[in-house]
Amino acid sequence: MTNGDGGLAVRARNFQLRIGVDGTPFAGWPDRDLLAAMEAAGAKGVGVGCRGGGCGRCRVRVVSGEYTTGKMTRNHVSVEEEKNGYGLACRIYPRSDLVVIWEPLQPGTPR
Amino acid sequence: MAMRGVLRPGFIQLRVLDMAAALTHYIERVGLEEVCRGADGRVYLKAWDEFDHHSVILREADTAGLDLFAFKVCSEDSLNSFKQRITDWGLAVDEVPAGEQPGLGRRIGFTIPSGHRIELYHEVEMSEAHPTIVNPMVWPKEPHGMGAIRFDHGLLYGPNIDKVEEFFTKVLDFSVAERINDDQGAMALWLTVSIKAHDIAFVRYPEPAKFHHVAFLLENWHEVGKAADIITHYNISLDAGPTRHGITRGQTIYFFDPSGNRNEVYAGGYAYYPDNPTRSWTMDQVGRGIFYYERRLNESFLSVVT
Ligand code: FES
Ligand SMILES: [Fe+2]
Repeated sequence: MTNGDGGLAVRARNFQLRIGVDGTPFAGWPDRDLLAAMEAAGAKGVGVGCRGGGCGRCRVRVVSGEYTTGKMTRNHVSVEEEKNGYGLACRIYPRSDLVVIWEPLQPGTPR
Repeated sequence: MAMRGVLRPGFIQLRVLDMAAALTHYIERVGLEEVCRGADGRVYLKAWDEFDHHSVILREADTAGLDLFAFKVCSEDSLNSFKQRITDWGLAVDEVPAGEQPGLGRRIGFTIPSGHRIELYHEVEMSEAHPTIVNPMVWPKEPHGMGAIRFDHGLLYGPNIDKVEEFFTKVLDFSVAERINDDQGAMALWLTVSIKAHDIAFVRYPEPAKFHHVAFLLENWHEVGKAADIITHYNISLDAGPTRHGITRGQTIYFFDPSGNRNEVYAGGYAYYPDNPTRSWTMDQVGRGIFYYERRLNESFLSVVT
């Protein structure tokens, strides 16, 4: 867990993250999830919910880039969808520059 | 009315994505105690001021959310009479044998029109770490973390809230303490079966069986402030507060467990008696009803559930 912003400035790896291809880039790190990076930068574009991979509010489609994931609720991202680039921003950790698009499910979408 | 029939919310079973993280959260931060672990991996917890065996059950799964919400009733006779009334109202009632959870007797279960599984039971063992009974101390052992006193209430989201109101008031003998109406009827209900301002609440939502929050009681506004300090210290995901609800007048904070299930710790709220009128809110004042100081809903209140 990252506690505050201490030390971020001297970290070696710093990626450019974007919400949408034309989005304003903000900084990301491999140990900080995409949603937390967006919030820390004061950026917008992905809905913020639980920040814990459970509510699906921050569901995104990754358009480009490499990343790893934490455990995400299967209500919002199935195994198949995960393979196809869908994920929860609060459970996506960048490994390169990333471009994502916010695609939350409407309530009651059949799963 | 003396309390008969349904006494109170008894326990809640939640799904969590990561059991270890959930235990740190509910035990170290919220302040519950571990009672025991089941062979199937479920973990049983309780708050320090509860006599009964457990009140929170965590089950590791690949989704977050609510498995079931159970109420304790005053006797086996009462349980049997509710079984009949619920069946007569038109719900299918199943039986869960004693021992399915440690310390617990027979339960009956059913799915209400909002899609949630509700259970009723009477028999439950007293917990080992119960509050002292003879020449009592204030607590059996000093509280830790936020010091949650008890599992207090829950807020559930789902469709058919009008049917839910009919079921809880006509079949389970609850009263509606407060409500929000819009042009389609009841948009939200705060239901009580005690002198608490609410024991369970519902908000209309298109998807069935959704979970908004589980609430734990704290002693006072100062303790709510201390809980806020803990939330920041451990970088716990904050949703709203510290603030007050206009509805129920509780002083509150909303935050999330590590799997995204919303928790509330709260203090205060008025006493409700069954002869009190139902307080009602119109949609243009809902912001103040939910978050009294901010006087507006936050973005997540109506959209973030597990
Ligand atoms: S914010 Fe809830 S799943 Fe990401
Ligand atoms: Fe509440």
